[in-house]
Amino acid sequence: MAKVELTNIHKSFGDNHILKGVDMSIEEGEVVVILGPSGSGKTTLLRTINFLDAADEGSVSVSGFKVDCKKHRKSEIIELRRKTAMVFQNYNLFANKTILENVMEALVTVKKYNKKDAEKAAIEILAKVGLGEDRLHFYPSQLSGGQQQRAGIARALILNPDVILFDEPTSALDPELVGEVLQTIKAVAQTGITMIVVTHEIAFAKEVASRVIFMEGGKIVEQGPPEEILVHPQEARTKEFLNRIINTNA
Amino acid sequence: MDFPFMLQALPEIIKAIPVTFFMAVAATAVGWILGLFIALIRRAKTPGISQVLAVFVSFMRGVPLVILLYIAYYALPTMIYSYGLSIGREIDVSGVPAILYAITALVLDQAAYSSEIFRSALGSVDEGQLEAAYSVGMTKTQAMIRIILPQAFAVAVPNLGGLFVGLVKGTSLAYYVGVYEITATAQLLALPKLNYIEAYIMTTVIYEVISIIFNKVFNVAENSLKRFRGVATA
Repeated sequence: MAKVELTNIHKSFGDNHILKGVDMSIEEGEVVVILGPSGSGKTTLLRTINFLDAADEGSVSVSGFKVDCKKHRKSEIIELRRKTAMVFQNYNLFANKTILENVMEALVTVKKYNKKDAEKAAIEILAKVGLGEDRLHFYPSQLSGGQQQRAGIARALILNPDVILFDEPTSALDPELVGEVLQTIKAVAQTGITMIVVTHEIAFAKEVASRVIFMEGGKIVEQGPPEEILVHPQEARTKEFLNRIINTNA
Repeated sequence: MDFPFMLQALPEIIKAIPVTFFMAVAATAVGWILGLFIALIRRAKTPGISQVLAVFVSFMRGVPLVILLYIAYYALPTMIYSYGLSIGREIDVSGVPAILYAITALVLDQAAYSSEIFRSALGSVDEGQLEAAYSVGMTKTQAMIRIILPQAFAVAVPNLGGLFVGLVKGTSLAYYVGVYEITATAQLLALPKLNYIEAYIMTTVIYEVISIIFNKVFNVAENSLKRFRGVATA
């Protein structure tokens, strides 16, 4: 059974038809990287999975729990969100809570852990993303972007979700901080958790992805293993996009 | 300057402070809760109610507090009385103390003004944090109570402090509808020997002291609520 299954996803913002019938099936343990020019709908697609943007049409299924986008209930969305977690471009850490509290928050309020257990689990996870005891009681505004994003990853990981959604996790970072965050994401990928990553980091995609999806104009243009899509793309649009990216990066 | 009068009158005026506080605290407690709900509903853009509330807020901000007090004191009892008759009951409105009408007017005033403060404070909290709260499976209520409202309050506190101090001074207008708070008491004591200058000096000092104390209280609250706004090192 597929871990994540999207069927015929359509989404418009006003007159702007962003997603035009996307189908996607992701197996357990896959690391899927979605590439595409800006405006291609890749971030919107990611956000339809946890209903931060509810699709107008189609269905979303995570671990067999299927929600019809046209007629969804609040309780279904919450259930779906509890199977997923997200890492945001702008980290979106809770500004009124310390790093430790940020990571504990969902365990306490959503999973009803007692504080002691939640704290223990949070300290453990934070250590895994390289945030030691000396950083636990800092507020997000006191940390670098890289540290904030690693805390964001810890906040997602601690829920032990069926799939983690990464929305351009390194786009807002200073260039010298990108590496540490990509390292962390890579380490997460190696644990075998299912991941969907929207990014512009081609090198990262090559190294970590088990599958690369190229989107343009609200549709999937091409998909396959990274060496196939990134090195020998079949579609002209994919080639053009990769050329542009590689030339600007060089 | 009639110092013996001042010495004699001061304790009497001080005795009226609780009346002023009672009005201010009651109007704040009820008015600000209403204000918060008005802000939440208006931000959610609930069709119908949202527009009605916008008109209410705009109206309340336009009407002078004195007029509002008069409306509450003179019009409200008549309205309640005739409503009573319409359901076949004669309600004795003369038994209702004036202070209740004054508080009603102040509550409406505070609801309108505080709702604008809450509305802008809620808007200042980055939408992304709400999304993050949703993404970890929190309900809207959980996200509001644990993440959004604490931050919005921290932003709102300085303005709420100003609103509260303004309200304390505004309660002096309740004098016009016969509530014996600080100002009315001073007026009354000044009357026999026309010690108005002395009375006004004393009331001014009392209001100043109250204002300084509450500014301090709100400053402390602001600093403790804002402790999470550390210095960015990024």
